[in-house]
Amino acid sequence: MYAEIVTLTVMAGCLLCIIHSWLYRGRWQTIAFFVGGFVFGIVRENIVSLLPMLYTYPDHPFYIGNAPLMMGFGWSASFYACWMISNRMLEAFAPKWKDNKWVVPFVSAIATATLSLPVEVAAGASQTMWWVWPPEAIMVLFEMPALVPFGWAGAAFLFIFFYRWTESRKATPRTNAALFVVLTLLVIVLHLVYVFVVRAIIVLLMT
Amino acid sequence: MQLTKELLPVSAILLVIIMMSGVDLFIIGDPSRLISVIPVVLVLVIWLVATLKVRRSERVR
Repeated sequence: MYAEIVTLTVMAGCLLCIIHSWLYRGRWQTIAFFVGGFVFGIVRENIVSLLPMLYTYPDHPFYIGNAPLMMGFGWSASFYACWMISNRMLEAFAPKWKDNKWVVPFVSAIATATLSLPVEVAAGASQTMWWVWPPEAIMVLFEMPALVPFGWAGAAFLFIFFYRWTESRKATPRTNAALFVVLTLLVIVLHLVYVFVVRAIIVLLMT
Repeated sequence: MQLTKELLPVSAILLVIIMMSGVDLFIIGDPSRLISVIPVVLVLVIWLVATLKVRRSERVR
């Protein structure tokens, strides 16, 4: 119910990020990040819909396969906005690390984990049910499972790490963009493996 | 222009915070859920302090 709210919020937020990226990072960099993000969101959520131990999307206005359209915008907008603010925090407080290939995605991942909390707490309530976790999920904050902030953080880390690696290659921006969009498929596989490892650790620790 | 550069990604995060808080308050009707926005608001406060620090050092230069 009210899935239009989260759909419009995510699309408006993504538009702000796309404008920023286009103005300050360039055309091909923007295409790489947000087309890659769209592929990541739609393909990943279609795979997730086949896995009963993760969540389902019961009531959204638009779908591509089993993935709500908003997922094509939500992941990339979250990653981009959190990456940009992390860049600024590193520039101010740890300038030595501001270009480090591990530290930048790590700080962005922490920021993304904090952003996951209000979204997931609103998404899981019986009045909204934007996505629904199975009953065996271990809830820690209202209907939000313990896995969630780790899942969002891991996705941000992998996506930004591979994006920055691709961008640093000595090739044309167009070639790098095409490579990154293909690489998002690898990011999906790595992220799903990571999610299952974290899920197993949480089950081990909390049951 | 500099302000646009700073504020566009932050506006996207603020939009999410405002909309999700609105859902918590007016659709779910449970103000205690607003606790979930505290960590990301803290991140934005740190970002604001970082931005002011960078601006100050640029002005000194």
